[in-house]
Amino acid sequence: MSKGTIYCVLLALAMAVLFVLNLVKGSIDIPVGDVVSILMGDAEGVKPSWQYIVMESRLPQALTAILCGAALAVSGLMLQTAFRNPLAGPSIFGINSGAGLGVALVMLLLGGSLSVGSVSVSGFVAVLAAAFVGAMAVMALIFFFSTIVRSHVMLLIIGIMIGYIANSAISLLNFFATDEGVKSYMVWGMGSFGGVSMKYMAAFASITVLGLVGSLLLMKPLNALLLGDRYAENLGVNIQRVRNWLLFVTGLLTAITTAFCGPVAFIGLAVPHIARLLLTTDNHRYLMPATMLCGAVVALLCNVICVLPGESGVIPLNAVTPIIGAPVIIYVIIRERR
Amino acid sequence: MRNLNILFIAVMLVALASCGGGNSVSADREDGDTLQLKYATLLSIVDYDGYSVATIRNPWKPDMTLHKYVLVPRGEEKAERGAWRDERDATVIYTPIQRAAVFTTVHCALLQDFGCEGSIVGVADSKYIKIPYIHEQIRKGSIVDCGNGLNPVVEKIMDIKPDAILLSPFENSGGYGKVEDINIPIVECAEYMEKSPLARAEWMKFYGRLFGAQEKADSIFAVVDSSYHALKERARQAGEGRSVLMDKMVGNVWYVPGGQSTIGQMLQDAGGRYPWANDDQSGSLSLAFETVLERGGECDVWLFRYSSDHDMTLRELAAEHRGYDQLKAFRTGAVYGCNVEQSLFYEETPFRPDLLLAELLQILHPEMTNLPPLRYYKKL
Repeated sequence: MSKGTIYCVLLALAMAVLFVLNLVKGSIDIPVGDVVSILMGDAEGVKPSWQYIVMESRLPQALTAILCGAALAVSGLMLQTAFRNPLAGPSIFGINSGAGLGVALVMLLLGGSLSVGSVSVSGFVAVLAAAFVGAMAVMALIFFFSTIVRSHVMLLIIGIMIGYIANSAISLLNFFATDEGVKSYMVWGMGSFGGVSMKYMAAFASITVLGLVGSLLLMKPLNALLLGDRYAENLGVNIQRVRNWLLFVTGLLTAITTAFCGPVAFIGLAVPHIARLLLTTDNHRYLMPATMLCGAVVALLCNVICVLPGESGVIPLNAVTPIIGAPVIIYVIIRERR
Repeated sequence: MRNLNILFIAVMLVALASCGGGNSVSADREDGDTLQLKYATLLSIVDYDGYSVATIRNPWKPDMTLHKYVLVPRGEEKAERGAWRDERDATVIYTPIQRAAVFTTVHCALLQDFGCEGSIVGVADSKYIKIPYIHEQIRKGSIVDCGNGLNPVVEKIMDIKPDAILLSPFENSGGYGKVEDINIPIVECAEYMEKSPLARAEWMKFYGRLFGAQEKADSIFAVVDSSYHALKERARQAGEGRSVLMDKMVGNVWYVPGGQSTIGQMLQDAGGRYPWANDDQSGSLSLAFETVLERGGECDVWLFRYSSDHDMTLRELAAEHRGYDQLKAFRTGAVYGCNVEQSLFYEETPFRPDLLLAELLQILHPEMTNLPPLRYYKKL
């Protein structure tokens, strides 16, 4: 068995263990036996509120962490390969900022509701729609520029600039907003895997899985891109088309995860590096599945850490992810310098 | 290098010396007549012959003074040698204040209660002020909106030449920036840091003195004090009320008021059973939904504040978070929302805790009669 396969199996095992841990561990103590019987559908004599907590809160949260972690990590990997920049990540193109701007508009300017024609939604659905529309709008913009600008680096810079513009609009909205508005926006910005309830799970999971499958299909051209654009073209890869697909897939994955979970920091940037360190290979045939699994593992781990304070509260997700993410980035930079 | 060392030591010495000077407390005079404040812990007012001294304790560093004010009645300021000139490290304010920049809407509302709204010449964040009088005057040009309260437009403040600026202090805010440098006294309205609702309200005596409405302030507070206690007594006689859950989720977090917060104390005074009553936090707790469901899922009533341009319905509430339908109060429909955009909750309750207590009493003891109609909360 190759090293890649062994690591994938190990990561899958770790994911399974952490998944169970996510169901058992939470802000309140529910005995393991009760959790098991709730999951088996044999929940007689168990408190109904506990049933709700396990089935409607912990289970979707753990599933979301797996999907979201895998989606962000694989987006980061693809962008890092395509742009030959180890510091590229899903947030680099301003897609996160686009989602943030959409949410800021709804929360801070429109008072939490969104009306299109006669349809009016408020609360969670409005935020969700705004984030998705914002992210897709930025993606469309990047797409447009990618038809004009050939250079990868220039396209990256344009992405960063769009992010800045979105952020300046966000600061302006924040400056003039109410205390509660700023607070809700802050809380959204801190990220959470708790945003997907079972009602939305099907939609969230199917779009994410679609994106993940899409990325697996890009495995081969990505390997070709590693050799450089010229070689890749000689191998019969249509660079422009690959880049378009790549933008579409990463854009979709980032948009859907940011819409539901807020801008989750660092997973997209750091996890591909963790996978590379483990596998010591650049071959996407192994690297890509390993990155997905690793993303899921890291996300599940962060999610468990968030509820560690127990009865006394929760820690925001984005306070936890950089603790795992940032040291990895520093390590990569130091290793590159040697 | 040696020169640098000497320079460093010199700088340190100067710094130490100036620190020492800042904290010196002027000797207490004997003829001072301390105003007895019943509840306020951060404020003390001492009346001397011809002037008063008000000292605000630093709420974040208990041994320090936040600000000391010398209140000198107009007319006295001409006197060549009034005793007040000996007060050191104090900000002198000539009373009554005739032109005030008031950056918090609570104090705008209070001044209106005093009948002193004519002395307001500047406000901040006028968008969020719900007092019609203020907007009318802004349109007429006799009140100026100085912009964002945390970062006001200094030129506008200088232009309206106020006698004083009323604003709310923040912990470690790093001062008030340029506003401090324009030689206009800043009145730091720190009452929101008081622990009990009545202590907070009692600060109106200080504001009354500042604006020449001393009697009015004292009489309003007397009403607040007596009606608060009367209501509390009624609650005590009525025995245990319904159990109550407070506020709702923001994103993924449910910020629950701590047992010792103002609202936590008022719930106890109203006889409500509050799941976090034994908690000793005076701020709020950030909890996961499952924790709230476990401890407060069976509460009889649910009260929350929200901000929206229309009254919320149960359906809108349910759409915000699916878990809400697990709460007993939600299922039985005992849900009361206070739309802070449309009610005067934040404007009135800090200085009129009796009005809020009456409201809580009515919700927590449905059997009680002859209470005023609900003013802030509405049943969804």
